[in-house]
Amino acid sequence: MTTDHAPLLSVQNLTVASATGGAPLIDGLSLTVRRGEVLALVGESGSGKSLTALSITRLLPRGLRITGGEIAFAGKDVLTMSPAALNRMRGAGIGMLFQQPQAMLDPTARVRTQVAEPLILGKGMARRAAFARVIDLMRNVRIPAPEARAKAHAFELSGGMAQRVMMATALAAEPELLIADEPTTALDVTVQAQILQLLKAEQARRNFAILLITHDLTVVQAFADRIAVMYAGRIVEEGPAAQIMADPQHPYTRALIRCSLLEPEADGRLLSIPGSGATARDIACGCRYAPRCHVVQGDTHLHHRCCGAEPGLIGLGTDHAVRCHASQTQASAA
Amino acid sequence: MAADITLSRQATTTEPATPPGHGPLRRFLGTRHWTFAAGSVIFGTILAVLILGPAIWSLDPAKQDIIQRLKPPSGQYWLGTDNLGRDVFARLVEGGRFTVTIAALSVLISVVIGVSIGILAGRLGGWFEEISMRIVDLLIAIPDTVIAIFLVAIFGPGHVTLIVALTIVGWTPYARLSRGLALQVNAMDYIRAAEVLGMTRRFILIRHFLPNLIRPISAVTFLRFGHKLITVGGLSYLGLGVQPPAPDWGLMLAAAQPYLDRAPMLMIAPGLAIFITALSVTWIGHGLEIDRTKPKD
Repeated sequence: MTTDHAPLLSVQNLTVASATGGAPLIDGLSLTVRRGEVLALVGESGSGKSLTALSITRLLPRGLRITGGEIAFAGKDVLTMSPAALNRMRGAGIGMLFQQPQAMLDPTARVRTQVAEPLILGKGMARRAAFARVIDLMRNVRIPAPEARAKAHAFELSGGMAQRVMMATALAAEPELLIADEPTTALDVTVQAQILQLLKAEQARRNFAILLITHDLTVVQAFADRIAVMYAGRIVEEGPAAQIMADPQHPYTRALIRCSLLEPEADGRLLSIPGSGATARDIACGCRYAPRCHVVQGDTHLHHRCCGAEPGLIGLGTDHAVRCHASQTQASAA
Repeated sequence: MAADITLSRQATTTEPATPPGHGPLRRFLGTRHWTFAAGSVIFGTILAVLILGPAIWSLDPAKQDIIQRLKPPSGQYWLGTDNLGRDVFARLVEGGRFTVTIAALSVLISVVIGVSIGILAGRLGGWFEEISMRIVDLLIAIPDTVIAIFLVAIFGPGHVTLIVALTIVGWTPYARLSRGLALQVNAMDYIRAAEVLGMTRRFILIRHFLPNLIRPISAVTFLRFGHKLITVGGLSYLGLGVQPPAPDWGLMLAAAQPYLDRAPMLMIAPGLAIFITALSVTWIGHGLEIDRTKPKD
């Protein structure tokens, strides 16, 4: 049914809101992940990155609901799936990595029991065969002395080791898509690099797609094929990674890149974006980024326009789109 | 290139974590506080004496030897004799079988009822949680002695009345504890991780949810068991539990009172028995409660 050109994951106009009402936390978000590609979803805390990931696997916490939009994974509608089909998709179709790897391991179970669970349950392997496969999986993610560690408990592992174990678990069922929600945020810088290298190597070897959720653009640069930048529940810029890193169009993207590359300003100080990250709940009017935008400040004409109406997501040539009045004006003038 | 170098260096410097001890038992005890081992040994010895004692020493708790009444400990009567010339040691063993069994049964029934209600309340929420927790609030305020007096007034004293009286209030701490634990464990990331891997709710409940409840619940169970032993002794002492001539530690204490100056062992023996038994199970509970495997935050 599905051809290679059809996206593996397609999210259209996704809206997530609290069951008690109020402004939506994710508002009309669309993104696609193609087979074998790495899409980085970048944004500050509270921008709705993690909620997007949880929506895709239909694991939103109690009290939050998908109120609109469509999610399709490998051509199947995720929002109308039966619980059994959802469970199959979660194990075999989509794997996930999280921010706190040690908390993701059950403290009462041995490592091998947990890594083997998707093999035994999802693939119907016998216990003994699954345990043998676990050693291979652990060796693949370069865990030293896998035989000894397989019998260890979660508390005996370091953060980096735990994330490797989680990676082995997530990849055990050979998913087509791996959602990595800030997989290295809680780890040491040196370990971060190792984990990302490993992730990249495994991805190259098995050719699964990755949806990488992060706030760290330095991670993205070396890793992603495409980038989607999220602000307050909306995508504000989307495009090929190289193009966005070299020539960002949205003022927010520009500011994020300069913040994470640690390039000093003219006065020698590091850039910080004024104000704090807005969630979709506290939007006044117009462009969601306008209150913090340095382009808007000092330009009364633009100020009027940006605070008046929210810009649409406009394409700038192939595959690159931006949601900003200022850069769209520039583009049309040029 | 650089990554390869760092990866191989990492592989050589990090030794696999070796657990303390070798066998599973050594490993289990190695992660426990010393009170667990000490309590287990003492309580195990007491249980062995209570279970095997009558068969080994052919004890007769009812045989009266009126000439030998109120004797101090001797070769024939290890803990002396009471006011009717009965063997105190024999009565202590026989009485212990009653006391420990009644305490254990009431704790067991309390755990089953309390944990079931608590987990249901934590997982279902809604009106079930509200009603059951308000009932807990109500019952937890009533001392079990009062309930025992009330039940004895209606049904008369006896084993069943005693167990029922202890269970009516006894389940409430377990319900409250397991509701809290259920909420806590349910919010844990490893439960999310299991859901993400596509495991069924039932599998998660059995393999990841319940194992994480067992340790804290068993710790409290042993702690409460010690407390129950003392309550059983107290109720029998007040004449609300086991009836004479059946021996019971509380009853023996009560019967020994008039002879305190002539035969102090008559009172010391059952008192010490209650104390040591309660202490040993409390130690087991304490040892289980202290989790040395948990990383300190």
